[in-house]
Amino acid sequence: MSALLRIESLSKHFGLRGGGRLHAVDGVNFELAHGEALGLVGESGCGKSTLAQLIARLIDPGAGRILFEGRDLAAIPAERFAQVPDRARIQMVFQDADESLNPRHTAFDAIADPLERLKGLAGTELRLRVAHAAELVNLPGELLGRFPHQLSGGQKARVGIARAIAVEPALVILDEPTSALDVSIQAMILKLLDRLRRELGLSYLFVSHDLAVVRMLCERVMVMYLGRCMEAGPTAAVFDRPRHPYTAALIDAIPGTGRRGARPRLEGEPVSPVDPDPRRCRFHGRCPRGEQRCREIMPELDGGRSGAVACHFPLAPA
Amino acid sequence: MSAAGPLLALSGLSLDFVTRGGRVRALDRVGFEIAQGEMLGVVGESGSGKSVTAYAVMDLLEPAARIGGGRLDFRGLDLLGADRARLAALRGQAISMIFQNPRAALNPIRPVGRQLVDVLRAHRPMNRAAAESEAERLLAMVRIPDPARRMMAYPFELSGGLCQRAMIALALACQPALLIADEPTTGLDVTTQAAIMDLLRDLARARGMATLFITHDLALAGDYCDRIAVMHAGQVVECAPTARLLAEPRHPYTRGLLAATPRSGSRIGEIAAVGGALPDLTREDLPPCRYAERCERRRPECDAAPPPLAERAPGHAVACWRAA
Repeated sequence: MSALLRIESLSKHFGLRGGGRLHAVDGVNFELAHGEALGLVGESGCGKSTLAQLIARLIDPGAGRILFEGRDLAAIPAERFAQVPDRARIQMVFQDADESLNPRHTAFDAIADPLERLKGLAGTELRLRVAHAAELVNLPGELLGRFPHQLSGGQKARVGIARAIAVEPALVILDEPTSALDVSIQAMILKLLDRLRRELGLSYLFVSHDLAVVRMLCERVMVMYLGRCMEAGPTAAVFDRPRHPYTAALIDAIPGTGRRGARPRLEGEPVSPVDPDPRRCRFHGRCPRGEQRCREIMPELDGGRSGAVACHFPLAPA
Repeated sequence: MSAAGPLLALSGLSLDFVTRGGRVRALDRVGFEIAQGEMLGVVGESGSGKSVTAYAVMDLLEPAARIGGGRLDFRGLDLLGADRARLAALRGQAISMIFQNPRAALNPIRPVGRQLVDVLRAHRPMNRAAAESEAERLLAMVRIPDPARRMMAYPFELSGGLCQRAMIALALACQPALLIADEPTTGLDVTTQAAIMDLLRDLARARGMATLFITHDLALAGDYCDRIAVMHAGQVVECAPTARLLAEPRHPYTRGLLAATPRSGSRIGEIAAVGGALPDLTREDLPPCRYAERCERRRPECDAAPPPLAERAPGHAVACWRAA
């Protein structure tokens, strides 16, 4: 099976004013197949949003390759990427529709904008394509003339999705697309995203801190911690039989599991992502296990598509 | 002190905001009780009135708020009628509150240890040295690692989770009988959320402190609360012991909320959105049941009179004409 997207040894370090380098993404590898949905989970500062921005080519990587349909996009500078045909093939849906929609543009303008810029459409053809995208996301045509402040949260989310799919992308990167929505509206948007992926054959890279949502929407999941991939595999396997102690702690913390007793929680604070010790496992210090070896040898991600874990002492498969 | 009657009782609390855009009917006959040592979850989506209810208890309402009726009793004292000096002494001591964004609630230019010392000395007769050692003890109590060093830390030097712990230490400094926690873990990571919720539960148990836990997350409330009250558009629609509410919801909105909440392992086909939208609370013709326009079971009687929050089973109250 050929991968739509193949990420090889991708890294992004940010130089800090006071000296030192923040390791946002550090040597990440993964593959995304055609039509597949991959969930990218982890807590704030784990690098999942930076990784999404790297792949959307909004920022430039420090090292590594971004192979999209076999073409390496990593070498194309972010400011030039807008002129590359692949720009339309990779689209992004942002977390907060309020912040990603221009308040002075109508819903029509927002959806038309990428069609004009990336596809050069105008006139009747443009109107038809906007109407079609709106129909795909169940946005009533009479709302197209409205400005963002005249739309509900769910309607704004639909505009953001319509805008991304209007240019017929192969890959849609969704960065916390429902985290600003109330749960009653979230359900509707999640169902819409699931249906669109199946109907349009899209691949999703779904960035989220909500593990229950990822489990519903994604076939595969990748768990990140401080810039490193800790565990990856089929969603059901990772959730039901986590191998990495961090994955296990994350899953244990999902609300609604009926847990009311006192299970052990992660202790301590994450280590600093600024110039971290290259030999030490990033999770060392918070890990319930954490042995000498974890301090001396950084564990590499080991395994294939059926499940991979970066840990010297993975939990036994149940 | 004997624990006769509830610690806090709200009944028939109605409240409007007078704005240029009209009167916002924020709360309509809100009522619930909290017993000593109990954790009550008040669950609702944005616009449900859950935070306004908490602000009313704390007397933190903005000037545009007009209380239209009802009672707010704390240990039998009428909070809406008592004189302000008495209330000021009560709030901050017997009742205290923590907020969603602890970094904004803490003083950014004062070390957290100093802020604790300030609170302790304002409310208790303590010299500086005693207050300092008590402050350090409080930081240790909320499980802040290395409390002696953290005494001198400014809020910006602490992570979101540590700031919330410092906030909890401040709120508990005067050993309140009731803690109001308004979305205390929103914006925190899930593992941090779990640790903060565990801490709140453990501290409340150890001190016999009651907690009013305000959240949009029904699943989270389900993990920690003894009882849950569900709010919709300014009305309490259902209130029951947690296990009962989750297993046998009677109000259509509670059922809808449960069906919309993703749980670990639920499939996309198993969740369903709640139909319709919140009614505009400035409308003159708000239906007496504010869920009626979203409700599949609406009947003419739903538009005739407001459904009272009536007990349908022991401890299980539902505000719906059609609930069995």
